[in-house]
Amino acid sequence: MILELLIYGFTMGSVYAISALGLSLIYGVARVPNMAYGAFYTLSAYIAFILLNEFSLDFSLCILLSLFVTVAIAIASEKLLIKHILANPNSVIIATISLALFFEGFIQKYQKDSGYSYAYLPSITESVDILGIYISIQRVLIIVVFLVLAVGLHFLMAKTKVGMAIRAVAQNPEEAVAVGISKEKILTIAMGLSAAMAGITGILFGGMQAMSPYMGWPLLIKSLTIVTLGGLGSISGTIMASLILAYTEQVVASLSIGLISLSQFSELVSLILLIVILLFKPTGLLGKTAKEEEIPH
Amino acid sequence: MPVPSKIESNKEALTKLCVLIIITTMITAAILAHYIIYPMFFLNQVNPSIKIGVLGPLLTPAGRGMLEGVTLAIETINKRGGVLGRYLEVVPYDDAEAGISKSEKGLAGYIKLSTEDKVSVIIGPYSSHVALALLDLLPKYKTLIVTSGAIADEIDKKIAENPTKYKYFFRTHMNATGEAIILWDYLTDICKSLNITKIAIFYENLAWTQGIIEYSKSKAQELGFNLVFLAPIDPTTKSYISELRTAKDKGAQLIYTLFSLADTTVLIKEWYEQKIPAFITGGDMMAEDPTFWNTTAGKAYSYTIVHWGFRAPITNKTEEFYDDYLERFGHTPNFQSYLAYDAVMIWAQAAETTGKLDSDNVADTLLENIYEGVAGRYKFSTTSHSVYVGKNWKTGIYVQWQDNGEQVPIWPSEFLPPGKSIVLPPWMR
Repeated sequence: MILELLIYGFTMGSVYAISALGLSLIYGVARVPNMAYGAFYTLSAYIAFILLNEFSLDFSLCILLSLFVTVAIAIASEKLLIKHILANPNSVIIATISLALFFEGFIQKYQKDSGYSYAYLPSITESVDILGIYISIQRVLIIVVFLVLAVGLHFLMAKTKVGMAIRAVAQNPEEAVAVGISKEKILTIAMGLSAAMAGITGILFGGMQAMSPYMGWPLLIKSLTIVTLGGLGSISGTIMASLILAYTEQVVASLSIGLISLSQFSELVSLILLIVILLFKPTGLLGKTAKEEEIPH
Repeated sequence: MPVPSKIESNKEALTKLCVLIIITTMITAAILAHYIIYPMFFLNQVNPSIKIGVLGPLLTPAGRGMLEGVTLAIETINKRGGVLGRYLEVVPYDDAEAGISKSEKGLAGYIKLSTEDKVSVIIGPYSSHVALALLDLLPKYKTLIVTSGAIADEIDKKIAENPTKYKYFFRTHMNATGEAIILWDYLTDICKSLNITKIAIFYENLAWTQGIIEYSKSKAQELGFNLVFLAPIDPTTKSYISELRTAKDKGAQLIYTLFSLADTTVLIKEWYEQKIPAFITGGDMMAEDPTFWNTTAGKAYSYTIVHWGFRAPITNKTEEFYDDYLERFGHTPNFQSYLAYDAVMIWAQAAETTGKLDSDNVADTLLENIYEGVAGRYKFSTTSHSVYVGKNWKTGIYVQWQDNGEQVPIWPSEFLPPGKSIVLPPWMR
């Protein structure tokens, strides 16, 4: 029971982490409150589905094309809309919610017209035996993708010029510009990377559950909770928060009163955690205060 | 005597030919007018069509089945000349958001279909919570409902308590207790043959399952089964991992499912992935569909589902209906297709019997009539309007997914094809 809980909790934590890392990058690091983040997750899954079912392309090609198109759409949204209203976060929130609803309506229309009641992406459902626990290869793949992305993102942010530039722009835009960093270019890179992460989550998860035009919203809320819980801009905090949330949900879902399961209440966990964190530690587990974030002169 | 010139005789022949063409054309036109143009245009002008409302989650498999079942019934009736000399016409209304029926949309739909579209009968709503919400509108709008879903016992209780107020509500499906009776008849047989005593139930946490769960709690005890785990599931759930794990830990040997809206592809994939040592069976709208085999990549092997209509000699009409449906829509009917089709036919029979369309007369006649439909024989109880349940009335057929996606009826035993038997998942053999 405990081993199963550990393994399945880790796979769920991996999905949450991949998704929340993307949001952490655009919202936590670049400080763009992009509420269309969940829509990019939905878009990538549906684009792959359309390419696969309407054009009968090879699935690996569908994945690449869907990620490319999702990133292109995200960058276009940034160039045409977000960058012009960046000074006012409230406007960004409203504009990106509208954008998400626009994409949602588009997908809804497709699903209605195409007659698909349920849409799925292919997934690897065969299981492997890990210490007597059966787990699908798809879940193993999710864990591998998460580990690769987490290490890659950490390396990008800590060791590369692009990563340092992203952090510099987030912490002190004026000084970053003064030392020759292009704020616009950095925002575009952050937006593209973030959308790619959302896209990867969509493709990995689109094979494990029925897709729906609205599936981006729960993911956005969960990712926002994780980013807040972990601390804005903290990659390690985001990963830690993802695992905490996943394990807490798994534990609650395993409980029962008498004969009756309490699994329905597991979804409330993220909301309760969010309220608790906002009340008692608004900077999150590993987040820094505005003062701590200041780059020393 | 002057001999007619060649030109004159040609002229005469031409005239005769013209007369012949005109007469032939007139006769053809008269035939066309009588058999095609008049029924197409004028009959409906003299006798405007009768509108049949469909209220349900139209983008889901259930809603699609309802609409198609009603459409086929209307086409069949129209071919026979309509009802009381008037053609039928379908008016659909979607009461769902994101695939789940919403009470407020259902109420708006009932009012719109009653007041704007002026339908004579509504087939729907599909969901019990919508039906319960709109029951109190019935005395005001008086639009008859013959639904193919909404099985909550609470509806029947309300009708029994106040038959005058709720006289306009009927359903072609059995109520929750009816389903539970069939369920436990089946479980008694299957558990005996597979030597099973511990049962878990996964059920949608919606109004329609409450009666079945309450009945099951007492019935399990009465029959000596051990009900080890009850998992209420939100229909929008995306994973069943925890519930499956708990069922396994509690030693469940059989998992019974009760799902009408939820995505159970995930359930079956996760059950297979974890190789849960429990036979899985139940009522599952999604798993009835022939595409379920492919969407689960064959993991549905051994999953056994109750069908409330199947291509088997349930009545003399069942197999013909199935074949007509397949030809008309290019895919097989689901249980809503059977029940919605029967709903229209039962209403049409009552309207023809009474010779009137008003809800009061039709409702009274519905209580008197017996109708042989495609999903069984129908007789409504005069107290609660519940349909009669049992071998000679309405029952269910449990159908199992077997090799290559074949759907094999395994219960009641008289439907089991020769050479076939019940199968177990590979890890339970």
